[in-house]
Amino acid sequence: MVYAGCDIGTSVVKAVITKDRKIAGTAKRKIDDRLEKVTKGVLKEALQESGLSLRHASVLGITGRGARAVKFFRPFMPKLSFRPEELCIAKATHKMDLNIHTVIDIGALGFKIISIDEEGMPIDIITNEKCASGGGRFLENISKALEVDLDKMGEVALISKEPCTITNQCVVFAESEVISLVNKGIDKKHILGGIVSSLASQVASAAKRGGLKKDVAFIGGTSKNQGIYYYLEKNLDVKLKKIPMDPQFISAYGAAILAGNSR
Amino acid sequence: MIFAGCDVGSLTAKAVILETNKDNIDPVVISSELMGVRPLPEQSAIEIMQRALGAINISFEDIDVCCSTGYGREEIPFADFNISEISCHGKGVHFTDPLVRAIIDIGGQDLKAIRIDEQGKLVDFKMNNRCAAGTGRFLEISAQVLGVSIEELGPLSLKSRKNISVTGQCSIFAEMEVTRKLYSGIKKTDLAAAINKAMALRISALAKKIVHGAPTCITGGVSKNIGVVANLEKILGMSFKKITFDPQMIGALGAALYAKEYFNTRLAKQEKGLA
Repeated sequence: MVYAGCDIGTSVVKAVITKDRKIAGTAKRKIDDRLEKVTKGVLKEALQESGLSLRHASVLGITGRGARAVKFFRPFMPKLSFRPEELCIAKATHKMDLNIHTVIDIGALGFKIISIDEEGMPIDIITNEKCASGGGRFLENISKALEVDLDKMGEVALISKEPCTITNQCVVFAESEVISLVNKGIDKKHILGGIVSSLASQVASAAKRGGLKKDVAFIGGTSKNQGIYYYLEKNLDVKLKKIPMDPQFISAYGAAILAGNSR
Repeated sequence: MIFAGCDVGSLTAKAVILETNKDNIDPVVISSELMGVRPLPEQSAIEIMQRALGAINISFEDIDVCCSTGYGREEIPFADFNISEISCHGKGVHFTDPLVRAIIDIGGQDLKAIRIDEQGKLVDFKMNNRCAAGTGRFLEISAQVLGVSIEELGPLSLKSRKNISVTGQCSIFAEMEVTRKLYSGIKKTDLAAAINKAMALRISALAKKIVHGAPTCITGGVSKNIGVVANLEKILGMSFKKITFDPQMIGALGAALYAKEYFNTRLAKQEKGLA
């Protein structure tokens, strides 16, 4: 059987196709047009990669912050199944690694810390609700302000032996703080070191509040940043597990697994 | 005598120059200037002061005392001393209208509610400087999303016919929300109104703790946004006192007034020393 899972985030739409319970294709695209067009395009691309087309897939599992918008699309799949993101993440990580009991997910607008039980069900979740501090958007803005490629930020940050202290938690204020540090002539690597360790410590202190159960996995777009990875491990004093798939696709994969269960 | 006040904020720099008669009373504002900040507070201060002095054809040497205030007040080389912007706002407002007892000051990066006594002295204040919600930056970011200048937000919101709301308090969340709503076809006018309303709501939460129905005026750059002010008046159930001086320059005016006082006390000390 073929199932599709789609994660509609705040800035990127991700799709995963499973065939006979194995991943057959993936695709992602930045939301740069009408959501309906982007979502359908991503699905088609993922199906094409699997050598399939829309008529093969029987159920589409949908998750992510923008999931509700799909209800307003013109019908294109026989059956839709909406699932909360933390459930998708828990299911997908559990399927890939049974020992994972905590997942730290840092997305564009914030973080999620999900505790998972032995059956792969989410039992507790900590998120940022009112404020974007602790999200990847922080890194995005700083990358623009410092003109350092987002993908290179982590590497550059780790060169610094004496990272700056960034005093502002607010994403907007931290950006002005960074600009004033640049104007004072401080080296970019030290500023980036400060930014990365500040974000990691914000997430780590939230994670510690919930009591961390090992093993811990780190996912989401921000987990590609080596600097965050390093400082998060240092702050939490645990070894973070890598998941054997692109961390950005985990929610979509979970949605596809759940779509398979929904029949 | 010539006294100068220099207010270097997070987004704008302001300078006010006062002249007093030979008995050092009746100060009159003879020059005032405002500009966007340069990378370093020091650069902003020198440039804005040169502009204010240039406008009336005098030079740095003619200033008797200069006081600095604002975010960058400690980094201003030509200032004789500095005073916090909270005290300066109290001073400046009291000078323009002695009946005012509470001030809501909304700058580029902070939001303050200040309570003053009948002498214009600071009694109590509350401020928010950890989060960009309710500050000028929130409006700046939102205006950028709408593709209008920050000055247009007020007038634009008056044309709104539909009541919608922006619920995110965080500037970044609101930015996303406004973008999404703009893409889904909601009019700019309605969004501008929603942004102003969200701003007013946030400001009122802080202001309520200080104002308590006292005669209040509103200062800082955001006070020029008619939409925010109208919403705030509605939420607080009061109308603000109009001040006769540019509300964005009040901090600099207060600093100049402190410079005059500083001179007086120094003079008094000297006289005592002589006697």
